[in-house]
Amino acid sequence: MLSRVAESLYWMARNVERAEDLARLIDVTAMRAVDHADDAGERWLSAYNIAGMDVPESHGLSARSTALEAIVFDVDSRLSVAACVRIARQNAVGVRAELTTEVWECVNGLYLFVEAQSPRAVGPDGVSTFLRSIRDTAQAFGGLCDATLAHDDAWEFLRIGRSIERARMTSRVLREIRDDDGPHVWQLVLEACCATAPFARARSQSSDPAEALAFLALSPVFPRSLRFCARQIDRALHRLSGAPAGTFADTSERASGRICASLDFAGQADLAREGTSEFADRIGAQIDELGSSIVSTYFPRVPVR
Amino acid sequence: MRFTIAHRTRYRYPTPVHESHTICHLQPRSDITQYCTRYELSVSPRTRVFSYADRFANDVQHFAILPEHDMLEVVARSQVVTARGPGVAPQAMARALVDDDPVLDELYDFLTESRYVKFSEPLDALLAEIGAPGRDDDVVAWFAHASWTLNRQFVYDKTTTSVQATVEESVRLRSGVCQDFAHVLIALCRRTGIPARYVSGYIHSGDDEMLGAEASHAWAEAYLGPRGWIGIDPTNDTWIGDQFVRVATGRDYRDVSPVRGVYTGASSSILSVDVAVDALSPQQQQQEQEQLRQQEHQQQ
Amino acid sequence: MRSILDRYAPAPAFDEFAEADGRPRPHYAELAATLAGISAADFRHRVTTVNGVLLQRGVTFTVYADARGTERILPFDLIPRIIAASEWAHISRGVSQRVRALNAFLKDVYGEAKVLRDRIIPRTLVYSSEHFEREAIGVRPPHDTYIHVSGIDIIRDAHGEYLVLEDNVRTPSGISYVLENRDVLKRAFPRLFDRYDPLPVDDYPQRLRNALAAAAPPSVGDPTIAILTPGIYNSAYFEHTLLARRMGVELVEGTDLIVRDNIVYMKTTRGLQRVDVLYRRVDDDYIDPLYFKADSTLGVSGLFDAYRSGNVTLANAVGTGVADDKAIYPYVPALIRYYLGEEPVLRNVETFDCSDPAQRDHVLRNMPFLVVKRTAASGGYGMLIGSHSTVGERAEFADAINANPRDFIAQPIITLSAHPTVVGEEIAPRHIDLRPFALLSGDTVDVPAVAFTRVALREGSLVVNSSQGGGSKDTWILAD
Repeated sequence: MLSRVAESLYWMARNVERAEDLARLIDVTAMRAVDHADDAGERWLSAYNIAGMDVPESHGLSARSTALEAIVFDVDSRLSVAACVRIARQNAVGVRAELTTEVWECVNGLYLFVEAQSPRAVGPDGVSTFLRSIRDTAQAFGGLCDATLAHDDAWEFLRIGRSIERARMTSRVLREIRDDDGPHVWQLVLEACCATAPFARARSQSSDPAEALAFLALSPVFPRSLRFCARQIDRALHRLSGAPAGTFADTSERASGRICASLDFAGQADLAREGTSEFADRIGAQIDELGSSIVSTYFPRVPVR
Repeated sequence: MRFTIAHRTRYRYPTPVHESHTICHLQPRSDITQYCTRYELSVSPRTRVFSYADRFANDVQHFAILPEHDMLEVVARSQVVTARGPGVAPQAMARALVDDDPVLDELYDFLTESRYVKFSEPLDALLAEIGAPGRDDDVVAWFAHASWTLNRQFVYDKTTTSVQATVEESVRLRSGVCQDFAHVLIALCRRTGIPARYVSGYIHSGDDEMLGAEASHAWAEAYLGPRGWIGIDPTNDTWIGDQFVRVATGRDYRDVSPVRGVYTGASSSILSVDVAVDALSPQQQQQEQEQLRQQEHQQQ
Repeated sequence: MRSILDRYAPAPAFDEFAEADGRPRPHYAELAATLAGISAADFRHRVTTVNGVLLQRGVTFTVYADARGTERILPFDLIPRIIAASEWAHISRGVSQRVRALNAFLKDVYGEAKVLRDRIIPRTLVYSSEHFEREAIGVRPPHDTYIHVSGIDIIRDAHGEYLVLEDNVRTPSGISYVLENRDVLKRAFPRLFDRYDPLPVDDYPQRLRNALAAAAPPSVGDPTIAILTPGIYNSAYFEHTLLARRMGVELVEGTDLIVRDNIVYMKTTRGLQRVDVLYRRVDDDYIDPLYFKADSTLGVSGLFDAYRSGNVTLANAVGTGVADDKAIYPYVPALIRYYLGEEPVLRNVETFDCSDPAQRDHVLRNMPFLVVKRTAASGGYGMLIGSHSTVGERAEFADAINANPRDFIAQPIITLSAHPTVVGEEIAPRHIDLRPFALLSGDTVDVPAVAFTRVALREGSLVVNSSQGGGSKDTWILAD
């Protein structure tokens, strides 16, 4: 398929995923801030870190509304929810012919919905509902991609985009963990990764933070764990190149293979030894590198060497 | 006369560019008044060079460099023998012979405006000053007079105009480089109904200090009916003789610019051009002929 | 029961539907009977159904430039235009003849130029055409085919005679409406289709594909075809996507292509893939910044080199615009005689060439009774309809004509034929035209039974262009 089309699909999926993840993060952080007012400032700062954004000056005055404005609505930042939705839709426009009506309408609908909103229009009481709508639509997008598009190369690029962004988000959330954080923090972390119930089911009654973190990093079955995402990417890359699993045909496959290996053979003890934050940071950096090498393999700016 | 010519064009880009496509009008023409015995174009970075003849029968080379590069160098080396003798005026001839020439209809492009040759009020004023030739006037003399007027009134100045100077600007400023002198003279001819075209080439300075010798040169040719295409160099106010080497002809500079191209990347580039036109001394000529004869022997 | 046809009064023009005495023409009898059997309420229901379908499809056909992601749908009229087999045979013969002559003209004018030396057409007119492409002189496209796809605009005068109004041999559009209109109408009048059984239109993409494949450079066995679009902001973008999908070919933008060693490639996720035929919907001026507009970002550097080398087919070829220049149009009958030795099957509309002093005088003296057109314009722009113009507008055009006579032609105002059209709750006559599409490969012209009928929705209006308040109709061409 055309590199331009593949690239647009990739960025469309990444940006929808990011919008969903940020919306959830903000919602969860706002909820927890109500229960733990003493810790709220700290948690909002952490949210900026996860979003990869600088903390605005007005943070000290009203942490919640500033965060909402910056992380959700600020379209100038390119990193906010609204900006991601806009970029996703821009990419969708360029590949409209490749999408089904369902997928296109979903992205376009999400865009129109977010564009029509503002912090004032949403109001303090409407924030959670608003963020939930974004999450729902973004999740519907993933479902429609899976259910209405042929699972060909185009779909693999969507899967790669989604998984890379998901892995990055999980790694950034994990990176924010400190050893002395209380149970409410790792509860928040689980919620931000949509992992409360899956973790409870996997480790019934466990309340060991270390175990929760290991679950987010290393679970082979939880769809937002680093390991699961890395596997998705690796599989997609191999389907694209046709190279047998366990081998590599290009730099991106080598990078994904390396990440998979280090996650496949890591255990909870390794995490504890290296420190969760450091571990997540290291894997996060590797995933970013993988992202760049996918870009240069499949969408090279200069296609001829 | 026999010349060796080296024409080097070099672009440097502050940040790497890619997908550059370039076309060159650098190959001297071979016709009844001159013959190009050797021509070689080398391009760095290395790439395949393609060639075709354009609609003016110029031999054009073009090439692409697709990977990133921060420098492009094009060197054209040629050897040319000219055999038109010293530049002298052709025989006098009534303008009517141009007007009544049946070929005139086919010369539409040399009678009308083109990208760099546009008509304007200042041009008309200049034409009025020179005086348009009537049917019975000597068109050869008029052509010479127009060239002489430009040469006398216009200042040769490299600083006043850019490559994109229009005829109107040049006439207003009464200054320019060889290209502008040629464009203005062509515009005067066309405005008064005499077909005229642009010639790019080289001039060998020799002992007389000729302007335009250190770079590629340009002049004008007018279609003077039975006399054919007659060249004159308004920059030096001289008929085209042996010291001139014709490279390409077209409507104006745009059709025959020596090197031009497009690329993706940096918004600016630094251009440097060197041209060396050397005449071979009789001794050198003899030596070379000797060499050629030996080569022929070996081939046999 | 009150039928929606009860109050139909034929127009003061050639009425496609009704005879002079008001009775339906034979090939419209079934339609009349069907419409008579439909109550106003039922008809309203069908209109709603169709609009629903259109809306649904409209989502597919979004004008993406619009921030809302909404689209401007060409208004679609529910009443089909029906063309009898014998009439279509006549039209298609005329279109085919015209396309062959225009192609021969292009081959000549960019080659030996005999037509100019023989003074069949003034050189000045050709060389001063905005679309005469000098770079194309001496460049021979594969199989000498220039006009792979054309759309010839045809009207009917007051006597019902089919006349050619203008030729479109650059990048004519409208085929997507033809395909969509048929799909939509099938839902509204399924039973009527059984009675008429119009020739199908949905094989057009395959026929276009065949014509393009046949146009590939001779050395290519199984050619790769792609459609080159200017991109999402082009008004016909949806047509490009529709054709790409139905033809099963890649839809590419300029940035998707690269030229290496005079060969065109697409940039794909599996590396470079050679392209042999480009059905390009990008104008000549924009196809290659090296040779044409240098600031064009829609084209591909080096594309013209690949074309000159014969390594890629551009459809249509470079420079076809000179053949549909409105100042050349008056000479087309002469070109038909010159190249084919035949009499034109379809006549031209009488045309005054403003570059000729005598004709210009006539035009300037009779402006209220003429249509004045800019020779290089299309789409209903740059046009003055004398009878509908103000003194000021006429003065403006007169000044423009005097300043650049070459840029204008004028024609008598022709009352286009009229056709029953839904207007609010009623059916009333509205003026229409017809654009058949022709596909040329080698010496053979394929005129598929697809034609685009445009209708001027405003009462009395003679301008059918979509940009000027026109709509469209499904066009039924009947089999023998």
